Amino acid sequence: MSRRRLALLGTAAAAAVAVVLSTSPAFATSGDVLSYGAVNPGGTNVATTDALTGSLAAGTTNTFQFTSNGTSVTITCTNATLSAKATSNPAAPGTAAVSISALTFNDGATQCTQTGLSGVTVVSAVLKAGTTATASVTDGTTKHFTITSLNEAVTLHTGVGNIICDYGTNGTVTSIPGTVTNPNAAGTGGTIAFVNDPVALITGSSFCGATGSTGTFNATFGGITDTNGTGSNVSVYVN
Amino acid sequence: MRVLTRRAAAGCAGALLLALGVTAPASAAGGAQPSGAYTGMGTCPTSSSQLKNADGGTVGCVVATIGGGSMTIGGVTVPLTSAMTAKFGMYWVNGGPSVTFPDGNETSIFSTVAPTDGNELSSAPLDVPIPGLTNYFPGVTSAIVQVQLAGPITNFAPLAIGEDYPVFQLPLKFHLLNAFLGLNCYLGSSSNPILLQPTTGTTAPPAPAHPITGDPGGVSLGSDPDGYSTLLVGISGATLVDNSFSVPGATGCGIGGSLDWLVNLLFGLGSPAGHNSATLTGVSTNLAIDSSVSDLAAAIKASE
Repeated sequence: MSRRRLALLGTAAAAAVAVVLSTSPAFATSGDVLSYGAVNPGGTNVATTDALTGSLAAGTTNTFQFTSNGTSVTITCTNATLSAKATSNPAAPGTAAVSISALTFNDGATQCTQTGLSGVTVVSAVLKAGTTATASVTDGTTKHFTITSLNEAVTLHTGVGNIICDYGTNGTVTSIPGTVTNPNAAGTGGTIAFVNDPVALITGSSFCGATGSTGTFNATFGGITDTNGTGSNVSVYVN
Repeated sequence: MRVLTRRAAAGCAGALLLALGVTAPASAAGGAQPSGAYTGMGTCPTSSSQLKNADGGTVGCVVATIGGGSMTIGGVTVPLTSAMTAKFGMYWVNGGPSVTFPDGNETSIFSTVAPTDGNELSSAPLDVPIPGLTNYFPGVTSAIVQVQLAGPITNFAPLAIGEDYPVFQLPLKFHLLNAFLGLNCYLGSSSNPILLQPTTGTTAPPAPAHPITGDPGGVSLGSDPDGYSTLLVGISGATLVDNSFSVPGATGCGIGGSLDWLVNLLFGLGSPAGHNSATLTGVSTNLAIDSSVSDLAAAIKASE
Protein backbone atom coordinates (compact mmCIF):
# COMPACT_ATOMS: atom_id res chain seq x y z
CA MET A 1 0.00 0.00 0.00
CA SER A 2 1.45 3.30 -1.04
CA ARG A 3 1.88 6.24 1.29
CA ARG A 4 -0.67 8.14 -0.78
CA ARG A 5 -3.28 5.41 -0.31
CA LEU A 6 -2.58 5.23 3.44
CA ALA A 7 -3.05 8.95 3.71
CA LEU A 8 -6.42 8.74 2.02
CA LEU A 9 -7.55 5.94 4.34
CA GLY A 10 -6.45 7.93 7.34
CA THR A 11 -8.40 10.95 6.22
CA ALA A 12 -11.52 8.89 5.66
CA ALA A 13 -11.24 7.25 9.07
CA ALA A 14 -10.81 10.59 10.76
CA ALA A 15 -13.84 11.93 8.97
CA ALA A 16 -15.91 8.93 10.02
CA VAL A 17 -14.90 9.33 13.65
CA ALA A 18 -15.80 12.99 13.45
CA VAL A 19 -19.26 12.13 12.15
CA VAL A 20 -19.84 9.59 14.91
CA LEU A 21 -18.69 11.97 17.59
CA SER A 22 -20.92 14.75 16.31
CA THR A 23 -24.04 12.61 16.73
CA SER A 24 -23.12 11.10 20.06
CA PRO A 25 -24.45 12.98 23.10
CA ALA A 26 -21.42 11.92 25.06
CA PHE A 27 -19.27 13.96 22.81
CA ALA A 28 -21.79 16.63 21.72
CA THR A 29 -21.05 20.29 22.02
CA SER A 30 -24.41 21.96 22.54
CA GLY A 31 -24.73 25.68 23.08
CA ASP A 32 -28.38 26.55 22.58
CA VAL A 33 -31.11 27.29 25.11
CA LEU A 34 -32.55 23.79 24.76
CA SER A 35 -30.38 20.71 24.62
CA TYR A 36 -30.99 17.06 25.09
CA GLY A 37 -28.88 14.35 26.59
CA ALA A 38 -27.02 16.77 28.86
CA VAL A 39 -26.67 20.42 29.69
CA ASN A 40 -24.41 22.58 27.59
CA PRO A 41 -21.90 21.89 26.30
CA GLY A 42 -22.28 18.15 26.76
CA GLY A 43 -25.67 17.79 25.11
CA THR A 44 -27.08 18.17 21.64
CA ASN A 45 -29.02 21.22 20.56
CA VAL A 46 -32.76 20.58 20.22
CA ALA A 47 -33.69 20.99 16.56
CA THR A 48 -36.92 22.57 15.41
CA THR A 49 -37.86 19.26 13.83
CA ASP A 50 -37.56 17.32 17.07
CA ALA A 51 -40.66 16.13 18.88
CA LEU A 52 -40.81 17.10 22.52
CA THR A 53 -43.15 15.18 24.77
CA GLY A 54 -43.96 15.07 28.43
CA SER A 55 -46.43 13.94 31.02
CA LEU A 56 -47.37 14.65 34.60
CA ALA A 57 -44.45 14.02 36.92
CA ALA A 58 -44.69 10.63 38.60
CA GLY A 59 -46.91 10.64 41.63
CA THR A 60 -48.42 14.07 40.95
CA THR A 61 -51.86 15.22 39.91
CA ASN A 62 -53.00 18.24 38.02
CA THR A 63 -55.71 20.42 39.50
CA PHE A 64 -57.80 23.20 38.04
CA GLN A 65 -60.19 25.15 40.20
CA PHE A 66 -62.84 27.61 39.09
CA THR A 67 -65.92 29.15 40.64
CA SER A 68 -69.32 28.43 39.11
CA ASN A 69 -71.99 30.76 40.46
CA GLY A 70 -70.45 30.75 43.89
CA THR A 71 -69.63 27.05 43.93
CA SER A 72 -65.96 26.11 43.96
CA VAL A 73 -65.34 23.39 41.37
CA THR A 74 -62.07 21.47 41.30
CA ILE A 75 -60.99 19.19 38.47
CA THR A 76 -58.25 16.72 39.31
CA CYS A 77 -56.45 14.64 36.70
CA THR A 78 -53.99 11.85 37.29
CA ASN A 79 -52.49 11.89 33.85
CA ALA A 80 -51.65 14.39 31.15
CA THR A 81 -49.71 14.53 27.93
CA LEU A 82 -47.86 17.38 26.30
CA SER A 83 -46.58 17.39 22.72
CA ALA A 84 -44.52 20.25 21.37
CA LYS A 85 -41.75 21.41 19.09
CA ALA A 86 -39.23 24.19 19.41
CA THR A 87 -39.91 26.82 16.81
CA SER A 88 -36.69 28.62 17.66
CA ASN A 89 -33.75 27.62 19.80
CA PRO A 90 -31.12 30.32 19.85
CA ALA A 91 -27.74 30.17 21.45
CA ALA A 92 -27.76 30.46 25.22
CA PRO A 93 -28.28 32.70 27.02
CA GLY A 94 -31.58 33.50 25.43
CA THR A 95 -35.19 32.48 25.00
CA ALA A 96 -36.45 29.58 22.95
CA ALA A 97 -39.94 29.48 21.48
CA VAL A 98 -42.12 26.40 21.67
CA SER A 99 -45.29 25.44 19.84
CA ILE A 100 -47.54 23.07 21.79
CA SER A 101 -49.72 20.89 19.58
CA ALA A 102 -51.34 18.87 22.37
CA LEU A 103 -51.99 19.52 26.03
CA THR A 104 -54.38 16.81 27.09
CA PHE A 105 -55.59 16.16 30.60
CA ASN A 106 -58.11 13.49 29.79
CA ASP A 107 -57.60 11.22 26.84
CA GLY A 108 -60.69 9.19 27.50
CA ALA A 109 -58.73 6.39 29.08
CA THR A 110 -57.68 8.25 32.19
CA GLN A 111 -60.58 10.04 33.70
CA CYS A 112 -60.31 13.32 35.48
CA THR A 113 -62.56 13.77 38.49
CA GLN A 114 -64.56 16.75 39.56
CA THR A 115 -65.63 17.89 42.99
CA GLY A 116 -68.08 20.61 43.83
CA LEU A 117 -71.06 19.65 41.67
CA SER A 118 -72.87 16.35 41.93
CA GLY A 119 -73.81 14.70 38.68
CA VAL A 120 -71.15 16.48 36.63
CA THR A 121 -68.27 14.56 35.06
CA VAL A 122 -65.25 15.60 33.03
CA VAL A 123 -65.40 14.45 29.42
CA SER A 124 -62.14 15.92 28.20
CA ALA A 125 -59.67 18.74 28.61
CA VAL A 126 -57.77 19.33 25.41
CA LEU A 127 -56.51 22.17 23.28
CA LYS A 128 -59.40 23.81 21.49
CA ALA A 129 -59.74 22.25 18.06
CA GLY A 130 -57.67 24.01 15.46
CA THR A 131 -55.49 25.84 17.95
CA THR A 132 -51.93 25.44 19.15
CA ALA A 133 -50.51 26.83 22.33
CA THR A 134 -47.20 28.66 22.52
CA ALA A 135 -44.60 28.98 25.20
CA SER A 136 -41.25 30.59 25.76
CA VAL A 137 -38.34 28.95 27.53
CA THR A 138 -35.78 31.21 29.16
CA ASP A 139 -32.49 30.04 30.59
CA GLY A 140 -30.61 31.49 33.50
CA THR A 141 -30.24 30.69 37.15
CA THR A 142 -34.01 30.35 37.41
CA LYS A 143 -35.34 28.78 34.26
CA HIS A 144 -38.80 29.62 33.05
CA PHE A 145 -41.29 27.79 30.86
CA THR A 146 -43.99 30.38 30.25
CA ILE A 147 -47.16 29.56 28.34
CA THR A 148 -47.85 32.65 26.25
CA SER A 149 -50.95 31.51 24.40
CA LEU A 150 -53.42 28.80 25.37
CA ASN A 151 -57.04 27.91 24.70
CA GLU A 152 -57.89 24.75 26.59
CA ALA A 153 -61.37 23.36 26.03
CA VAL A 154 -62.77 21.64 29.09
CA THR A 155 -65.87 19.59 28.31
CA LEU A 156 -68.12 18.81 31.25
CA HIS A 157 -71.03 16.42 31.09
CA THR A 158 -74.17 17.34 32.96
CA GLY A 159 -77.41 15.46 33.02
CA VAL A 160 -78.78 17.73 30.31
CA GLY A 161 -75.82 17.67 27.94
CA ASN A 162 -72.22 18.76 27.57
CA ILE A 163 -70.90 22.21 28.38
CA ILE A 164 -67.59 23.40 27.01
CA CYS A 165 -65.61 25.96 28.95
CA ASP A 166 -62.56 27.48 27.29
CA TYR A 167 -59.81 28.56 29.65
CA GLY A 168 -56.36 29.92 28.96
CA THR A 169 -54.78 33.22 28.11
CA ASN A 170 -56.44 36.43 27.00
CA GLY A 171 -56.13 40.14 27.59
CA THR A 172 -56.46 39.62 31.34
CA VAL A 173 -54.13 36.68 31.81
CA THR A 174 -51.43 37.08 29.18
CA SER A 175 -49.18 34.27 30.33
CA ILE A 176 -49.07 31.23 32.57
CA PRO A 177 -45.65 30.96 34.19
CA GLY A 178 -43.91 27.70 34.97
CA THR A 179 -40.56 27.01 36.57
CA VAL A 180 -38.11 24.53 35.10
CA THR A 181 -35.95 22.16 37.10
CA ASN A 182 -33.46 20.36 34.91
CA PRO A 183 -33.07 16.60 35.03
CA ASN A 184 -30.08 15.23 36.86
CA ALA A 185 -27.06 13.82 35.05
CA ALA A 186 -28.87 10.51 34.70
CA GLY A 187 -31.66 12.29 32.85
CA THR A 188 -34.31 11.93 35.55
CA GLY A 189 -36.08 14.27 37.93
CA GLY A 190 -36.65 17.16 35.54
CA THR A 191 -39.89 19.11 35.97
CA ILE A 192 -41.88 22.08 34.75
CA ALA A 193 -44.02 23.28 37.65
CA PHE A 194 -47.08 25.52 37.41
CA VAL A 195 -48.14 26.58 40.90
CA ASN A 196 -51.40 28.40 41.61
CA ASP A 197 -51.33 30.11 38.24
CA PRO A 198 -54.35 32.17 37.22
CA VAL A 199 -56.00 30.98 34.03
CA ALA A 200 -58.61 33.11 32.33
CA LEU A 201 -62.10 32.08 31.29
CA ILE A 202 -62.06 32.78 27.55
CA THR A 203 -65.52 31.64 26.50
CA GLY A 204 -68.30 29.64 28.04
CA SER A 205 -71.63 30.06 29.76
CA SER A 206 -71.85 31.61 33.18
CA PHE A 207 -71.64 28.07 34.50
CA CYS A 208 -67.95 28.19 33.54
CA GLY A 209 -67.41 31.25 35.68
CA ALA A 210 -68.27 34.90 35.63
CA THR A 211 -67.19 36.95 32.64
CA GLY A 212 -63.62 38.07 33.20
CA SER A 213 -63.03 35.53 35.95
CA THR A 214 -60.02 33.30 36.36
CA GLY A 215 -59.39 29.80 37.61
CA THR A 216 -56.34 28.40 39.31
CA PHE A 217 -54.03 25.92 37.60
CA ASN A 218 -51.56 23.56 39.22
CA ALA A 219 -49.51 20.95 37.41
CA THR A 220 -46.04 19.50 37.44
CA PHE A 221 -44.85 18.02 34.20
CA GLY A 222 -41.93 15.67 34.17
CA GLY A 223 -39.99 13.53 31.77
CA ILE A 224 -39.76 16.07 28.98
CA THR A 225 -37.91 14.22 26.26
CA ASP A 226 -36.67 14.78 22.73
CA THR A 227 -37.32 12.36 19.91
CA ASN A 228 -35.69 12.81 16.52
CA GLY A 229 -34.31 10.81 13.67
CA THR A 230 -31.32 9.55 15.59
CA GLY A 231 -32.74 8.91 19.01
CA SER A 232 -35.83 8.90 21.12
CA ASN A 233 -36.95 9.88 24.60
CA VAL A 234 -33.76 11.65 25.56
CA SER A 235 -34.22 14.09 28.42
CA VAL A 236 -34.34 17.78 27.57
CA TYR A 237 -32.39 20.42 29.46
CA VAL A 238 -32.70 24.18 29.67
CA ASN A 239 -29.28 25.79 29.74
CA MET B 1 -124.24 57.22 36.46
CA ARG B 2 -120.53 56.96 35.76
CA VAL B 3 -120.13 54.86 38.89
CA LEU B 4 -122.90 52.58 37.75
CA THR B 5 -121.32 52.26 34.33
CA ARG B 6 -117.94 51.35 35.79
CA ARG B 7 -119.58 48.87 38.13
CA ALA B 8 -121.33 47.34 35.17
CA ALA B 9 -118.04 47.12 33.28
CA ALA B 10 -116.31 45.60 36.27
CA GLY B 11 -119.10 43.12 36.52
CA CYS B 12 -118.75 42.30 32.87
CA ALA B 13 -115.01 41.73 33.22
CA GLY B 14 -115.57 39.64 36.31
CA ALA B 15 -118.09 37.49 34.49
CA LEU B 16 -115.65 37.01 31.67
CA LEU B 17 -112.92 35.96 34.06
CA LEU B 18 -115.28 33.45 35.58
CA ALA B 19 -116.02 32.20 32.10
CA LEU B 20 -112.29 31.67 31.63
CA GLY B 21 -112.20 29.66 34.77
CA VAL B 22 -109.89 32.19 36.35
CA THR B 23 -110.24 32.58 40.04
CA ALA B 24 -108.13 33.97 42.78
CA PRO B 25 -105.11 31.78 43.48
CA ALA B 26 -106.06 29.03 45.82
CA SER B 27 -104.10 28.80 48.98
CA ALA B 28 -101.45 26.14 48.95
CA ALA B 29 -102.73 22.69 49.54
CA GLY B 30 -102.31 21.42 53.02
CA GLY B 31 -98.94 20.07 53.97
CA ALA B 32 -95.42 21.17 53.36
CA GLN B 33 -94.32 22.23 49.92
CA PRO B 34 -90.93 21.85 48.26
CA SER B 35 -88.63 24.75 48.93
CA GLY B 36 -85.42 26.29 47.73
CA ALA B 37 -84.44 25.21 44.25
CA TYR B 38 -87.33 22.73 44.31
CA THR B 39 -90.01 25.36 44.87
CA GLY B 40 -93.06 24.62 42.72
CA MET B 41 -92.04 21.02 42.02
CA GLY B 42 -94.63 19.47 44.30
CA THR B 43 -96.68 18.44 41.26
CA CYS B 44 -93.75 17.03 39.30
CA PRO B 45 -94.89 13.69 37.86
CA THR B 46 -92.16 11.56 39.41
CA SER B 47 -94.62 8.67 39.63
CA SER B 48 -95.46 8.77 35.94
CA SER B 49 -94.63 5.75 33.83
CA GLN B 50 -92.56 7.91 31.48
CA LEU B 51 -90.20 9.10 34.18
CA LYS B 52 -90.07 5.69 35.81
CA ASN B 53 -89.28 4.01 32.52
CA ALA B 54 -86.51 6.49 31.83
CA ASP B 55 -84.79 5.61 35.07
CA GLY B 56 -81.15 5.12 34.19
CA GLY B 57 -81.32 7.87 31.62
CA THR B 58 -82.04 11.34 32.86
CA VAL B 59 -85.23 12.48 34.55
CA GLY B 60 -86.10 15.86 35.92
CA CYS B 61 -88.58 18.44 37.05
CA VAL B 62 -88.93 21.91 35.66
CA VAL B 63 -90.47 25.13 36.90
CA ALA B 64 -90.14 28.03 34.47
CA THR B 65 -91.42 31.54 34.94
CA ILE B 66 -91.86 34.05 32.13
CA GLY B 67 -91.82 37.48 33.70
CA GLY B 68 -93.27 39.46 30.83
CA GLY B 69 -92.60 40.54 27.31
CA SER B 70 -94.88 41.01 24.36
CA MET B 71 -96.35 39.34 21.31
CA THR B 72 -96.91 41.08 18.04
CA ILE B 73 -99.56 39.46 15.89
CA GLY B 74 -99.97 40.98 12.53
CA GLY B 75 -99.89 44.67 13.34
CA VAL B 76 -101.06 44.42 16.93
CA THR B 77 -98.69 44.23 19.88
CA VAL B 78 -99.98 42.53 22.99
CA PRO B 79 -97.93 43.24 26.12
CA LEU B 80 -97.57 40.27 28.43
CA THR B 81 -98.32 42.17 31.58
CA SER B 82 -98.37 39.31 34.01
CA ALA B 83 -96.15 36.34 34.65
CA MET B 84 -96.72 32.90 33.18
CA THR B 85 -95.49 29.73 34.85
CA ALA B 86 -94.80 26.40 33.21
CA LYS B 87 -94.30 23.21 35.21
CA PHE B 88 -93.58 19.78 33.87
CA GLY B 89 -91.53 16.66 34.24
CA MET B 90 -88.92 15.69 31.70
CA TYR B 91 -87.11 12.55 30.66
CA TRP B 92 -84.39 11.43 28.30
CA VAL B 93 -83.57 7.81 27.70
CA ASN B 94 -80.01 6.73 27.08
CA GLY B 95 -79.19 7.21 23.42
CA GLY B 96 -82.04 9.62 23.01
CA PRO B 97 -81.97 12.69 20.76
CA SER B 98 -79.38 15.38 21.24
CA VAL B 99 -78.01 18.33 19.31
CA THR B 100 -74.39 19.41 19.06
CA PHE B 101 -73.84 23.09 18.37
CA PRO B 102 -71.03 24.73 16.39
CA ASP B 103 -69.28 25.76 19.61
CA GLY B 104 -69.15 22.13 20.72
CA ASN B 105 -71.80 22.37 23.40
CA GLU B 106 -74.34 19.60 23.29
CA THR B 107 -77.84 19.41 24.66
CA SER B 108 -80.07 16.45 25.20
CA ILE B 109 -83.58 16.86 23.79
CA PHE B 110 -86.06 15.98 26.52
CA SER B 111 -89.60 14.75 26.29
CA THR B 112 -92.01 16.21 28.79
CA VAL B 113 -94.82 15.01 31.03
CA ALA B 114 -97.58 17.22 32.40
CA PRO B 115 -97.64 17.82 36.15
CA THR B 116 -99.91 15.77 38.35
CA ASP B 117 -102.50 18.56 38.56
CA GLY B 118 -102.52 18.96 34.78
CA ASN B 119 -101.71 22.63 35.11
CA GLU B 120 -98.71 22.76 32.78
CA LEU B 121 -99.06 26.46 31.97
CA SER B 122 -100.68 29.00 34.21
CA SER B 123 -101.12 32.67 33.55
CA ALA B 124 -103.34 35.54 34.45
CA PRO B 125 -105.70 36.80 31.73
CA LEU B 126 -104.57 39.76 29.67
CA ASP B 127 -106.63 42.82 28.91
CA VAL B 128 -105.97 43.49 25.24
CA PRO B 129 -107.33 46.72 23.76
CA ILE B 130 -109.19 46.34 20.52
CA PRO B 131 -107.40 48.24 17.77
CA GLY B 132 -109.11 51.56 17.05
CA LEU B 133 -111.07 51.64 20.30
CA THR B 134 -110.32 53.43 23.53
CA ASN B 135 -110.51 50.85 26.26
CA TYR B 136 -113.14 52.28 28.59
CA PHE B 137 -114.73 48.99 29.54
CA PRO B 138 -112.51 45.91 29.79
CA GLY B 139 -114.26 43.01 28.18
CA VAL B 140 -116.36 45.34 26.05
CA THR B 141 -113.92 47.73 24.45
CA SER B 142 -111.13 45.22 24.90
CA ALA B 143 -110.71 41.49 24.74
CA ILE B 144 -109.79 39.50 27.79
CA VAL B 145 -107.22 37.03 26.52
CA GLN B 146 -106.25 33.85 28.28
CA VAL B 147 -103.07 32.24 27.00
CA GLN B 148 -103.51 28.47 27.01
CA LEU B 149 -101.47 25.48 25.98
CA ALA B 150 -102.72 23.85 22.79
CA GLY B 151 -100.70 20.72 23.45
CA PRO B 152 -97.75 19.57 25.51
CA ILE B 153 -94.49 21.46 25.62
CA THR B 154 -92.05 19.41 23.55
CA ASN B 155 -88.42 19.19 22.52
CA PHE B 156 -87.09 20.77 25.67
CA ALA B 157 -83.40 21.53 25.09
CA PRO B 158 -82.01 23.03 28.31
CA LEU B 159 -78.51 23.67 27.03
CA ALA B 160 -79.77 25.42 23.93
CA ILE B 161 -79.56 28.45 26.19
CA GLY B 162 -77.06 30.75 24.48
CA GLU B 163 -77.39 28.99 21.13
CA ASP B 164 -79.31 29.87 17.97
CA TYR B 165 -81.69 27.00 18.63
CA PRO B 166 -85.15 26.71 20.19
CA VAL B 167 -85.14 25.95 23.89
CA PHE B 168 -88.56 24.29 23.58
CA GLN B 169 -91.67 24.12 21.43
CA LEU B 170 -94.66 25.81 22.97
CA PRO B 171 -98.03 25.27 21.24
CA LEU B 172 -100.44 27.99 22.27
CA LYS B 173 -103.97 29.12 21.71
CA PHE B 174 -105.47 32.41 22.83
CA HIS B 175 -108.94 32.35 24.30
CA LEU B 176 -110.56 35.73 23.56
CA LEU B 177 -113.45 36.90 25.65
CA ASN B 178 -115.53 39.93 24.87
CA ALA B 179 -119.17 40.76 25.37
CA PHE B 180 -119.74 40.38 21.65
CA LEU B 181 -117.39 37.50 20.88
CA GLY B 182 -118.97 34.86 23.05
CA LEU B 183 -117.24 32.11 25.00
CA ASN B 184 -115.64 30.12 22.20
CA CYS B 185 -113.50 32.65 20.39
CA TYR B 186 -109.97 31.40 19.86
CA LEU B 187 -106.81 32.21 17.99
CA GLY B 188 -105.12 28.90 17.41
CA SER B 189 -106.41 25.52 18.39
CA SER B 190 -105.15 22.15 19.49
CA SER B 191 -105.06 21.03 15.88
CA ASN B 192 -103.71 24.30 14.52
CA PRO B 193 -101.75 25.96 17.33
CA ILE B 194 -99.63 29.06 17.46
CA LEU B 195 -96.34 27.21 17.72
CA LEU B 196 -93.62 29.18 19.44
CA GLN B 197 -90.06 27.92 19.15
CA PRO B 198 -88.22 30.60 21.08
CA THR B 199 -84.47 30.93 21.34
CA THR B 200 -82.09 32.92 23.47
CA GLY B 201 -79.88 33.21 20.41
CA THR B 202 -80.63 34.80 17.06
CA THR B 203 -83.63 33.88 14.95
CA ALA B 204 -83.66 33.17 11.23
CA PRO B 205 -87.17 34.28 10.24
CA PRO B 206 -88.73 34.40 6.80
CA ALA B 207 -89.09 37.80 5.15
CA PRO B 208 -90.16 40.44 5.78
CA ALA B 209 -89.01 39.88 9.36
CA HIS B 210 -85.38 40.38 10.30
CA PRO B 211 -83.35 38.31 12.76
CA ILE B 212 -83.76 39.25 16.39
CA THR B 213 -81.62 38.13 19.29
CA GLY B 214 -82.50 37.02 22.78
CA ASP B 215 -80.38 36.87 25.89
CA PRO B 216 -79.16 33.69 27.57
CA GLY B 217 -79.13 35.23 31.03
CA GLY B 218 -77.14 33.23 33.52
CA VAL B 219 -76.76 29.49 33.94
CA SER B 220 -75.86 27.98 37.27
CA LEU B 221 -75.39 24.45 38.47
CA GLY B 222 -75.63 23.32 42.03
CA SER B 223 -75.75 20.23 44.16
CA ASP B 224 -78.61 19.02 46.28
CA PRO B 225 -78.25 20.49 49.78
CA ASP B 226 -79.36 17.24 51.43
CA GLY B 227 -76.82 15.02 49.77
CA TYR B 228 -78.93 13.49 47.02
CA SER B 229 -77.35 13.05 43.63
CA THR B 230 -79.74 15.51 42.03
CA LEU B 231 -78.13 18.24 39.95
CA LEU B 232 -79.79 21.62 40.17
CA VAL B 233 -79.68 23.79 37.08
CA GLY B 234 -80.78 27.39 37.27
CA ILE B 235 -81.35 29.73 34.36
CA SER B 236 -82.10 33.30 35.26
CA GLY B 237 -82.81 36.55 33.49
CA ALA B 238 -83.08 35.05 30.03
CA THR B 239 -84.94 36.59 27.11
CA LEU B 240 -86.40 34.27 24.51
CA VAL B 241 -87.46 35.44 21.07
CA ASP B 242 -89.25 34.01 18.07
CA ASN B 243 -90.43 35.73 14.92
CA SER B 244 -90.88 32.74 12.68
CA PHE B 245 -94.32 31.58 13.73
CA SER B 246 -97.64 32.01 12.03
CA VAL B 247 -100.99 32.82 13.60
CA PRO B 248 -104.12 31.25 12.16
CA GLY B 249 -107.39 33.06 11.75
CA ALA B 250 -109.91 33.31 14.54
CA THR B 251 -112.50 30.62 15.14
CA GLY B 252 -115.70 30.51 17.15
CA CYS B 253 -116.06 34.27 17.55
CA GLY B 254 -119.65 35.48 17.76
CA ILE B 255 -122.62 33.25 17.12
CA GLY B 256 -121.52 30.40 14.92
CA GLY B 257 -118.27 32.18 14.13
CA SER B 258 -120.12 35.08 12.61
CA LEU B 259 -117.56 37.55 13.94
CA ASP B 260 -114.43 35.64 12.95
CA TRP B 261 -114.00 38.04 10.05
CA LEU B 262 -114.10 41.04 12.35
CA VAL B 263 -111.45 39.64 14.70
CA ASN B 264 -109.33 38.72 11.71
CA LEU B 265 -109.71 42.23 10.34
CA LEU B 266 -108.90 43.97 13.62
CA PHE B 267 -105.88 41.81 14.46
CA GLY B 268 -104.63 41.22 10.92
CA LEU B 269 -105.30 37.48 10.92
CA GLY B 270 -104.40 34.92 9.71
CA SER B 271 -100.92 36.18 9.86
CA PRO B 272 -98.20 34.24 8.04
CA ALA B 273 -94.73 33.61 9.41
CA GLY B 274 -92.53 36.66 9.18
CA HIS B 275 -95.28 39.01 10.34
CA ASN B 276 -95.40 38.00 14.00
CA SER B 277 -93.00 38.03 16.89
CA ALA B 278 -92.79 37.06 20.52
CA THR B 279 -90.40 38.33 23.14
CA LEU B 280 -90.46 36.57 26.48
CA THR B 281 -88.50 38.45 29.11
CA GLY B 282 -87.38 37.70 32.62
CA VAL B 283 -87.39 33.97 32.00
CA SER B 284 -86.16 32.03 34.99
CA THR B 285 -86.06 28.27 35.07
CA ASN B 286 -85.21 25.79 37.78
CA LEU B 287 -84.41 22.25 36.78
CA ALA B 288 -83.76 19.34 39.10
CA ILE B 289 -82.27 16.42 37.20
CA ASP B 290 -81.16 13.00 38.24
CA SER B 291 -80.35 9.61 36.82
CA SER B 292 -82.71 8.04 39.34
CA VAL B 293 -86.35 9.01 39.61
CA SER B 294 -86.54 7.68 43.16
CA ASP B 295 -83.55 9.78 44.16
CA LEU B 296 -85.15 12.80 42.49
CA ALA B 297 -88.43 12.26 44.30
CA ALA B 298 -86.62 11.86 47.60
CA ALA B 299 -84.64 15.05 47.02
CA ILE B 300 -87.84 17.00 46.38
CA LYS B 301 -89.49 15.48 49.42
CA ALA B 302 -86.49 16.30 51.60
CA SER B 303 -86.78 19.97 50.67
CA GLU B 304 -90.25 20.23 52.20
